[in-house]
Amino acid sequence: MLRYAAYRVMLLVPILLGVTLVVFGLNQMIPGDPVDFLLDADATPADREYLRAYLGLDRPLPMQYFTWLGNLLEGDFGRSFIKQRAVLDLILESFANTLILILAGGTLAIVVALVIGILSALYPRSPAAMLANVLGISGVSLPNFWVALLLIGLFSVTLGWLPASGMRTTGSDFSLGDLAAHIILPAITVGLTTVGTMTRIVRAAFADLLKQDFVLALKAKGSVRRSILAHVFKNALPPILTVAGLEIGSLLGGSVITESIFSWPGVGKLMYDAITQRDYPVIQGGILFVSFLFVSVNVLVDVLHGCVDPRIRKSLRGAT
Amino acid sequence: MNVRLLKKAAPDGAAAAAPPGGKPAAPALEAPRREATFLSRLFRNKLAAVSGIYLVLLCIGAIFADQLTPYDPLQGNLRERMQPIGAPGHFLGTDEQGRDIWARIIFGARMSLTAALAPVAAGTLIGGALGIVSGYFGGRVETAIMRMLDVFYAFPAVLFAIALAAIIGTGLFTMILCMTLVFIPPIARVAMTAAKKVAHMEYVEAAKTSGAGPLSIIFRHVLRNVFSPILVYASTLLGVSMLMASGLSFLGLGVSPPAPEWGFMLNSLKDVIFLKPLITFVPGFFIFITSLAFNLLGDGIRDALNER
Repeated sequence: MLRYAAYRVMLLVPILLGVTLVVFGLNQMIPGDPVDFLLDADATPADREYLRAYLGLDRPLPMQYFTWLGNLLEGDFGRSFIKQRAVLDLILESFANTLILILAGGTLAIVVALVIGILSALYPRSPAAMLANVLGISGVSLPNFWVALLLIGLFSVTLGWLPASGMRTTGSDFSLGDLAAHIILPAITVGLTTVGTMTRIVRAAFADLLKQDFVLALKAKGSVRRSILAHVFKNALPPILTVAGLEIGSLLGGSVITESIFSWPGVGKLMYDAITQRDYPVIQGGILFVSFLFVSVNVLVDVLHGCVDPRIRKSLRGAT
Repeated sequence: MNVRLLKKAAPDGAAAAAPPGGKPAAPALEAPRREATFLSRLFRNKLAAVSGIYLVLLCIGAIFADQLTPYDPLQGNLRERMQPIGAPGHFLGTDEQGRDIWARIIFGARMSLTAALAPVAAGTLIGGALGIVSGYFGGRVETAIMRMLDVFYAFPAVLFAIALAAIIGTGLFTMILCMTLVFIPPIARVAMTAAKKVAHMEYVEAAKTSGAGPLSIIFRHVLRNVFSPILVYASTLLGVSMLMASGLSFLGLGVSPPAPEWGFMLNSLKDVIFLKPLITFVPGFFIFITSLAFNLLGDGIRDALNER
């Protein structure tokens, strides 16, 4: 098991290096001279040359890349043009809020998908199956920013039940109830696509497994329903886990739109603000951070996969 | 291929079964018959048929947009701002600057459909070519291309498109470019898998031994056999593409302000949501049903071509 985990982590290194190369490449695509972003219009050519040498921009590109990579390894993601603070600090401060939002939205999505997916696989002609059909196809077709605006229009403006923006009521002390009221609408928005994808996967996995011989054997043996479901659930877990891991990416990507609509103070909002203000170091830092996170989560999922499914570990042992 | 299609078509009804029953497997008739089977099967799926008809109507509407509305999509009447749906003269209402929403929807369809279709088309061409080449040649070529594309899987797709558009600059063209880059790796992977299967077929071996060069084998033998899995996969991307394009526009990374585009309409309408809570309904609804139609049509195409 440990060997499998070590092998997966090792595969991570070239991917992460590739990610840094792509982001460094993006860096070069920014139109205009980086020095212009930092200096006033009346700066003398001598000032510009000085700053260029100071930032190392006069050196060849590969040198610049390795210096930049070295800085990344030391936790130096650069400084925000606008906020004049270290990018990593800004990201880490807001990341906790994104994590809260994604956990809420993801949990909501997975619970709904499991309940409806399993019910619809067990009772293919029930209302639950109809609902699974509708959720499966509309979940992946609904624009989440539109749903967010409709939710605000209905629950915040018309009914006045829930707040439309922010993470807590201004001026009040922190309370769980207040956070819960603020998180409901953003969590629904961010989890929407995931509900659609996951419902389809859960349903397909369960429907497929319920037809298999081992289920028939269990029935013939006289196992109770709960025990059969437990067997099926264990076998359905690997594909569900894989898709759930990939969905983290869609949750993180969706957080930019969701957080900007609901003014949720997370990484997505940080990046959205950086985009509108052309604060390039923050955009780069954000995408680096999120992709590192996404890749690591997927490795974690693969390792978990190996824990749940012994066949994966064995196939690897055969290969190496 | 042909045999399998015939077997599938036979129990479905007399109409499909009659022609193949008469003339068994005449090579000259192969292509037209296959197409007819595909279309009739696609249209047997009601949802896919309705979706297809809606999308065709939408395209026609977008082309003849100026015939379909008397209003200018860019010019509003400030005295008729924020009219509700069903207001006299404006059956879908007006926006925050008094512009007719129907006019902006039907003119906006031009840009929204382009932004949704172009990246999938371009991604299919480029990704398909990369995938076929790496699948056919295998070995080092495959490793080089596929490992390079693997890196792009590390970025959450939406976020990558957003960051890219934010860095290169806004505009319809850069938005299409960014989304194309996002679609290339997955399409290449599908094409690679399909081409790899074909590359080991006996007829390819036969072509090789009879002296055909790689280019002519790819164009004459591989391409037509990997066409349907790639097409099926690309069609499932259309709905995603619609959502991604309108999402980027919504964030202000697509078209520039006065131009009508569905995602961007929501961006400007959201500012008056506290006055008119449901004013964002119409443009979002069009994004939704168009994406839904793309998805249903994609499912229909997949079932009709019997691919997974």
